[in-house]
Amino acid sequence: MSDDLPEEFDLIVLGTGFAESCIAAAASRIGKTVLHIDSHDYYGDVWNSFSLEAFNKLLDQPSSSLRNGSYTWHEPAEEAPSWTRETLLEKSRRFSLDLSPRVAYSAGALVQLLIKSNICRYAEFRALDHVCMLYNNELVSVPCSRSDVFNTKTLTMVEKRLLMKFLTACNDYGEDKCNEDALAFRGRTFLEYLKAQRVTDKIATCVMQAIAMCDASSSFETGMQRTQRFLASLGRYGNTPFLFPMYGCGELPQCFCRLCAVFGGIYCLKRSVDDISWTPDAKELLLSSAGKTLRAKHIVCAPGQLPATLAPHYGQLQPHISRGLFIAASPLGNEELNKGGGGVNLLRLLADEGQREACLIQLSHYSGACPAGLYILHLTTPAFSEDPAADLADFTAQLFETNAPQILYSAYFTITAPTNANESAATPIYCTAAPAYELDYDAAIADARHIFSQIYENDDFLPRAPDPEEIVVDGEDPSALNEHSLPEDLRAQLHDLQQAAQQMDIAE
Amino acid sequence: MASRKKSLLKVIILGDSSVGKTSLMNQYVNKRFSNQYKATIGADFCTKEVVVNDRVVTMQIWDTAGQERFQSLGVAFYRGADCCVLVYDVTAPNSFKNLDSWRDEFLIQASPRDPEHFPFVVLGNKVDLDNRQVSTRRAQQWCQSKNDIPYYETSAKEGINVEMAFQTIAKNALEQETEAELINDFPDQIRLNSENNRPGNADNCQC
Repeated sequence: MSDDLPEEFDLIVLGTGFAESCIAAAASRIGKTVLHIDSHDYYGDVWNSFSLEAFNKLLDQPSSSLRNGSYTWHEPAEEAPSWTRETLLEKSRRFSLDLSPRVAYSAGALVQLLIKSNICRYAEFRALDHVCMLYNNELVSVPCSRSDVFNTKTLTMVEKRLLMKFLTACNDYGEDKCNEDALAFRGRTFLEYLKAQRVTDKIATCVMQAIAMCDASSSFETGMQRTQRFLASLGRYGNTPFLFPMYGCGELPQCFCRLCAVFGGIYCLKRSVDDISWTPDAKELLLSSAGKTLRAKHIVCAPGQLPATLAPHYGQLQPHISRGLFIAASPLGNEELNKGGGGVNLLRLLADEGQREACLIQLSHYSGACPAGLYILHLTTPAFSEDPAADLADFTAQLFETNAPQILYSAYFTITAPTNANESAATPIYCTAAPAYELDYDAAIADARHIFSQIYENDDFLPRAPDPEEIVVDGEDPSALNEHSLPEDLRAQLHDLQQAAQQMDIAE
Repeated sequence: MASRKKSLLKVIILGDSSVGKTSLMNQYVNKRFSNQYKATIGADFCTKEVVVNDRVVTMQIWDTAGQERFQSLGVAFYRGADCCVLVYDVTAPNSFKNLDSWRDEFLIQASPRDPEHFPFVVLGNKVDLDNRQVSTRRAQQWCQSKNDIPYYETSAKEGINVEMAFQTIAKNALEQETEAELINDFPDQIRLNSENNRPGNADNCQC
């Protein structure tokens, strides 16, 4: 590497995962000098998406943040003899295999942040085709929009009316503070409320599993809140409330990194850090890397990228997320769920009488994450052992016992997290959290926002970046860009948008 | 447009640091040149409407945002490119030598369906300077050896050949599409906020 790298920065960020990239972008956006490095030769760390070949290599070599990796090639199915190990590997680069797959609520934290910051111009999405549930061992689509409810064959007329009535009630909940239900069910569970509405078992499953994503112990308030979140995200983009980033979730950290770079952030991949030390008052941190000492006022680091000398401060690396990844030659579920070459579908699975859950995301080639004719199934659950396949066994059994898709390849791995990720008292380094078990990016964004506000107390987190035409080219003062906070008109527009989303009925 | 043909062309500009990628883009879109060298701060992408074969298309030209400086361009940058512009500085032989690796890098990262016929255009920039080091012949030979890549010698400063080069870029990007009868690979892609963007000029630039 030609080493004309500056030696002094306001902020050095180690690791290009989602939260680190948010922080780097936010700091650069407010005019701080940022160096963003990663020990890997790719962006995204444990949030990245990989080609099939790179993914296998990753599973073969355990690292601090990923271990217990294994993969198996299965005999090509009779119906799809052309997909062999060789033909799959030939198309290696057509795959974007996510380590930490997520979907985003259309009106959720990620989408709001992307719009607010104007980073949305770097990203493209695919609307999820179906939100599914398992009912009597059958995979069925949960009707999302009003027209879905009317057209669905899975519900009877009476059930349709009940569901609409129930959802309308949830949607209106909270507007009337003296709502009878709110008073009657305060402190009780959402399930009790649902039962009191005398909905059928099928509708109860539908609401609990797919819409409110609750378990039996979830409180009435939580259930209502989640149902409302689901409803608020309807009718904005596609047929369901969810979006998936085109080419996989690994694109998202790169969008934030691009913004950071556009505002002057410097990027160095494949650069490892040997040690970090600091002055007694911790006002200046010294980072030694490739025989060079770099100075920074602050350092943010991903748990997997801490230099070996400092890692022990953050405790042991424990299994955090257990992941399964399957490549199949046929999709899950019937034709209805996979029109026109396959759906991008979401399914929440429960086991141990609702005590444990897993999330399944099916991707067809429309997601840009695999070749046409193939499907990727991402299975994710909180880890409770060092054996990801065993952690997921209850869920794979539910999925594959009846109507199993033709699986060509299966892989398992564990994502780790340090036991005291947030205990940074021993060092002045801010350590981000490992990917949490969550559907959307709420926790990751909250983590980034929290760290940012600790470092830059009074600054705005990712204010709107100016559009192309707003930048003056000649004789400009680059620092002037930083005063460009969200203009009044856009602030009003965003506000209207959020209001509209909140008031939206179960729209078409 | 009723057809599913693309009306947006994504063009990416590659090449070593300080060969003039941002200046070329700036000259083409804004007809401006700033002599003051600065690493690409604030350079993002430009959009410009162009007419090619009686068809109006929007060309979106993406700058590297300086991420090439330490070989750290991510795969997201390369996604869905319709044409790749390779730029070198005629006064810097190394920047010419590196065209090979930039081209390879593009083919690996973007992995276009038909790498043999993917449209590249090579620009030898800074021909206004006196201390030229790479001869036209040498550059042309290299371009010929790579499946006849169109070659232009430009000066972003003087505005020499810039318009013509980008017209070729737009034309070749579009032709590749019609030749292969390429319809949009991924219909129904969603861009957030696209409805809510303020009406901007057709020609604008983020650099």
